[in-house]
Amino acid sequence: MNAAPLLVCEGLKKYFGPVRAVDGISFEVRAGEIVGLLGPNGAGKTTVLRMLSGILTPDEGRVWAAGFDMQAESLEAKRNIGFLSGDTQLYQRLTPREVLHYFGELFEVPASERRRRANELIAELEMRDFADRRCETLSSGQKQRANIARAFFHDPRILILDEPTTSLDIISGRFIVDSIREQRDRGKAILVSTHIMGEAEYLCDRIVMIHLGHKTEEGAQSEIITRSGASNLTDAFLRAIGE
Amino acid sequence: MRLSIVRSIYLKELRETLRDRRTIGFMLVLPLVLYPMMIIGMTRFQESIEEEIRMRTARLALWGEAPPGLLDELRARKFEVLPGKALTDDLRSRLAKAEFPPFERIPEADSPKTQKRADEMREAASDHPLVVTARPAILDRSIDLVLVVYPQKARDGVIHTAILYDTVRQDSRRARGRLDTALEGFSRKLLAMRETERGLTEGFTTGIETRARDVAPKARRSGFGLGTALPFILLAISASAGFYRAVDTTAGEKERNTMQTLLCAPVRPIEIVAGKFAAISTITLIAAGANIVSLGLTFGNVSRQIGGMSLSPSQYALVFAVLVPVTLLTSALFLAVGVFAKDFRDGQNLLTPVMLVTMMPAAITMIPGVESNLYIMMAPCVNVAMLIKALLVGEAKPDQIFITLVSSAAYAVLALTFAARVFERESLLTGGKDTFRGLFGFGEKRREVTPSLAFACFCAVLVLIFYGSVLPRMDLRFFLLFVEYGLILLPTVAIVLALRLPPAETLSLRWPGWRPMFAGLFIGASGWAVAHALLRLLPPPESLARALQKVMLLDRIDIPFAYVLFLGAISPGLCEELFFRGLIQSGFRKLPMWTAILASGLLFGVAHGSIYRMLPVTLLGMLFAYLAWRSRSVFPGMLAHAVNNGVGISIVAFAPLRDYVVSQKMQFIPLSWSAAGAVVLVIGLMLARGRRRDQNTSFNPN
Repeated sequence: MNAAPLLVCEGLKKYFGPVRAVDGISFEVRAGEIVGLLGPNGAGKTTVLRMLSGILTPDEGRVWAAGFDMQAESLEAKRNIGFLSGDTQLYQRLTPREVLHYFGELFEVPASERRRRANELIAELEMRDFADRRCETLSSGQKQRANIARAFFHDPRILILDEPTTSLDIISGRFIVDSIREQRDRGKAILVSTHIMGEAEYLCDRIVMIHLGHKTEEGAQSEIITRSGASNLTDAFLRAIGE
Repeated sequence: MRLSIVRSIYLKELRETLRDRRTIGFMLVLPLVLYPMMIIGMTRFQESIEEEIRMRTARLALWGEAPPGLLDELRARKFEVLPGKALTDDLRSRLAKAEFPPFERIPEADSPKTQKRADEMREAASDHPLVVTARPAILDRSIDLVLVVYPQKARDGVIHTAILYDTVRQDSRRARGRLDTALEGFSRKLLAMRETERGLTEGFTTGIETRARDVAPKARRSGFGLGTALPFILLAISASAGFYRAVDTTAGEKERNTMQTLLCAPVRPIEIVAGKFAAISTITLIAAGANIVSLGLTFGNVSRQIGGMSLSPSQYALVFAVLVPVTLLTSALFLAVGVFAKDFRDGQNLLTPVMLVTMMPAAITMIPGVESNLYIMMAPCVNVAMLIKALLVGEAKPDQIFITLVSSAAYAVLALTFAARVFERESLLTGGKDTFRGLFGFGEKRREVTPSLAFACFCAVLVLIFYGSVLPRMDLRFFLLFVEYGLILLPTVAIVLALRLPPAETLSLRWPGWRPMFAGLFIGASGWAVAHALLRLLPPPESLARALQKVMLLDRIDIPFAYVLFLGAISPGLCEELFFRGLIQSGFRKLPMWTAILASGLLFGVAHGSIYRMLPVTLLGMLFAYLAWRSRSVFPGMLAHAVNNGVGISIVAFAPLRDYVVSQKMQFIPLSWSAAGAVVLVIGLMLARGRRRDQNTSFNPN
């Protein structure tokens, strides 16, 4: 992996009152790479992802997205990121096509490009049947496809995905996972957090494990398994968090 | 059905509900506090108004010759009798020549026919010369009612009188009742006297024959009927429309997690606030517009069918226009408070009390006898309700419109600033909590005042000044000290300390050298003469001039002139300049010079709370702002301000000069004085402009 790092974080810290949610985490994600962020519940994964996508400001540490400092040049940095989380819903009374156009406007995608891009993604993510129905009438899988399309819409160089397959059935989940792999093949830098070890094994080139706000492991899957002396990624994960 | 299962579910639901503090608050605390507050507060308020009206001496204009004894009777019953007040010479002579016959008795409306006849007689009276003359005098409160005494005819001995009053004015209506009683009492005395002194002839048993006529025209009476309930209904229904949008766009977005999607898009918090605020305001205004149109059509239809209610489209349009600032206020408030909610239900719980607390006081228009005063013109929502009522009855004054709109705009800006602040707090937006200190930025180290912070500070202090300046029955000396030091200087210092701003830099506390100080002296000595000329564009009413004179002379309290100067010139120079040209203008340092000076002057003008004084005071504010900008110091402006006020006070206090002005019946100072002032002013401005190398605008306390 010699590609340039597109998403870099250095010494990230975040406190919620007396609680130290994230305590000095650093890693990077390169172009054409999927990095999995693994950790048990409460490890600080969502907080890390929110800091990386500019939703939360770190108390200490810095984030660079496509070379832009998230604090000093937040608009430029955010323009290069597509963010998706498993529990995000859509605007109930808009259609997926309207949602795509709305976010296209927020990301300042030109009007003609918006039309072309919407049609392209609707075809690619097999959304033709429901692209013009109100989101409140869609199934979970359809909503998540619309959400994926929303995150991909402005063609960001970085994708940050927080448990993107949560609450999806196996078919929808696999569809999403395949879409993510396709984005990796197009040279995107992808950071994904997941609870599902099988998904991490299938999807991720490298893994970052965190526990209680600290980074406990980082490396390619095979390196982590070898270092921990475990036989698979699940065991390596359990050992890393001291279980 | 298994009762044990029902019981388990019931108890679980109750337990969960009782553990939700906001629900408890809404369910128990709010009703416990709201109704006593409303009912006791409203009752006390009404009682105090009734008491005030009862204790008040009614101002009665007496047109015609009063029979012996009537004046004593009226004075004994707390009437201030003003013979001939508001009566023109022409009408006086026509009345004396008995050109106006007494009004006819209006028949009892006991059938459609007599009802029609009664209505026609009332309408006919509306154009009667005496009624037309009495109307404006009663409307502008110079009198409460008129008693017309027609010349007595020797043959029957009946004294014919008429009472001209305004049904829309509570105190005029009350005074009419009291006058009826007084005249009845006088009539009884008169009869008794006649019976004992002379033999009875026909007509003596009647004593006094009185006919009453309402001076309020039909449109005003219709407006009064509508104005009682309509303002509250309009405000409440319009706000309800914005309410649900506000809950959905804040708490709803948080609940659906779409807020975080929005936050990771390349948009600024202020852009999010502005977009959402505009949407809520638009919806509220559409609701208000729909309500007004529907009301207009309904009343128009009813009016055509049964008569009695007629308002012009322009009156409805004006009502809509004054709803705009209060709409902005509620929209911003709902937006800001909605963000604190975790989900939609929580949002409803939080916003309902906010809506009740802001809207309920608007029911003031339903209380009989409440008249608009400075207190009411400053009270959020209440002021708009009262202004709508005044517009409907056709008695809205320019100052009422101005102060209501300015204070409502100030509240809206404060609420919007609060909303913008809330939307900058990522912890709140992502579903967390925030501290009071964190929310308001207390304790954060700041380097400078931003234009929005300056504007918010201005609005906050403006609200304080307005409320402080209507404190009742305070000694004028203490009052002036309280306003200047307590409501202007103290908040200025408090803001600088609370926001940890560098005091010297923020307040421009820097010695500017002698040249700018001389410029301040020249500008202070001459600016008033030039500013005064602007009064000609919008002449103030006599009442405002009298009020100003009262303040300048400290209500003729016998105190040393030096103390008067300290209160009226030095204190405003010190306190107001530290606030306006120190704190506020420091927020405009990055703006172009003339924009900053115009903004500083306009805010200074608005703060003086009168549309008539707006132009001259704005000009003076701009002159002081120019001095501060050029010298990078607050001191030349302070000197100019103090000298400006000092000159005004000296003119009013210096007896020969005052007597000259009074003897010449001068409403304005002569233009020659203004021209002379302009010459001195130009010299001052040239001195202030200084040398080219002095024109660096960056602040350097050394």
